[in-house]
Amino acid sequence: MRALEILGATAFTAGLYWACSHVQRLLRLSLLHPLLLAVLAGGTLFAVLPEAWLDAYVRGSGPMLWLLGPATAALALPFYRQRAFLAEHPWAAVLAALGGCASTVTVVWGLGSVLGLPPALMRAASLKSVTLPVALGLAELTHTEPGITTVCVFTSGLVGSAIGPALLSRVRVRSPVARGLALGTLSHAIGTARALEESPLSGAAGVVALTLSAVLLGTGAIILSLIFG
Amino acid sequence: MALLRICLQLVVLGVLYAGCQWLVARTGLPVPPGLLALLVLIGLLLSRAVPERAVDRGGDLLLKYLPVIFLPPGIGVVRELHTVRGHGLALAGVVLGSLVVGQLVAGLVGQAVVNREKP
Repeated sequence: MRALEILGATAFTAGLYWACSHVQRLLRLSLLHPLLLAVLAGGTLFAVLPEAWLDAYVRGSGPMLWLLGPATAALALPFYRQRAFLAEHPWAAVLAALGGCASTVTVVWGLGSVLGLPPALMRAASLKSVTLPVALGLAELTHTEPGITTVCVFTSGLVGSAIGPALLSRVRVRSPVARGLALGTLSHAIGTARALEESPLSGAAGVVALTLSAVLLGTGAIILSLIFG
Repeated sequence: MALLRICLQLVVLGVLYAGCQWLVARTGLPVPPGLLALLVLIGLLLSRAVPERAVDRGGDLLLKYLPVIFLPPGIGVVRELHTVRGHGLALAGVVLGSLVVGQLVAGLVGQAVVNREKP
């Protein structure tokens, strides 16, 4: 039974992602990321199916989720390949990532409190700037729901890469380094892909920024979880 | 030969992560094992204790198919829809507002430091 659940969940996940990648290519909409499309399609399907089906899918996808760990470790590779960028612009990288992370978390908790958002949702919104494999690890640590965290991370990636370049141009941020750092810090891998479209230097800055953002926000979440339990 | 190399490298990454999982469980370190494995591998690569070619193919393969692994937790959001109910608009406002502010701050700080670095 367990083997069947694993096989079924793996086949369903791979098939759904493949189908959504195909649809995205047909529609040629860059904003419609195949994963976002697959989450919407899968989510809608399981919302109408009996709950036991979703339970079986979640149980069956356990081994696949374990791969997220080695994949998170593999993020060291793009960072290592861009180490020359960090050596050349250490202060710009660290201060931009620190400023971006601190300000975005401050706005989440400030605005969230004003709007009466529950703490669980504010925690998920605080993790939106962290690349997803690390964000899911932090969600577990801070008792935050992984599904809501995934949606927040994706919104940040997709919306940030769509409006970020125009926003940065509007405030006259023209340096490729600064633009890549801003896109990578807040919009992680999707933002980095957008930065790479602008220039290779922006792309390198994005890779370094997404790693720094994960480490900085990760450290912050760990300290807060130690203080508040 | 290339397939064997990829498989071996996947095992290396898996063992690294399993080792970090074991360490976290054993010591009670409040760090996600994945983040710990990322930091350990960055340290090993930078110190040249592990050459890039020991993990490059397997690592790149995992990163290429990473979005597929994200799908199950994304679909799992269906279970938690009740937590968002009544707060959807506020959550969207908070995520978008904080995203715009964060991006502006990161960009402006980065630009200011780059301008100061210029000779």
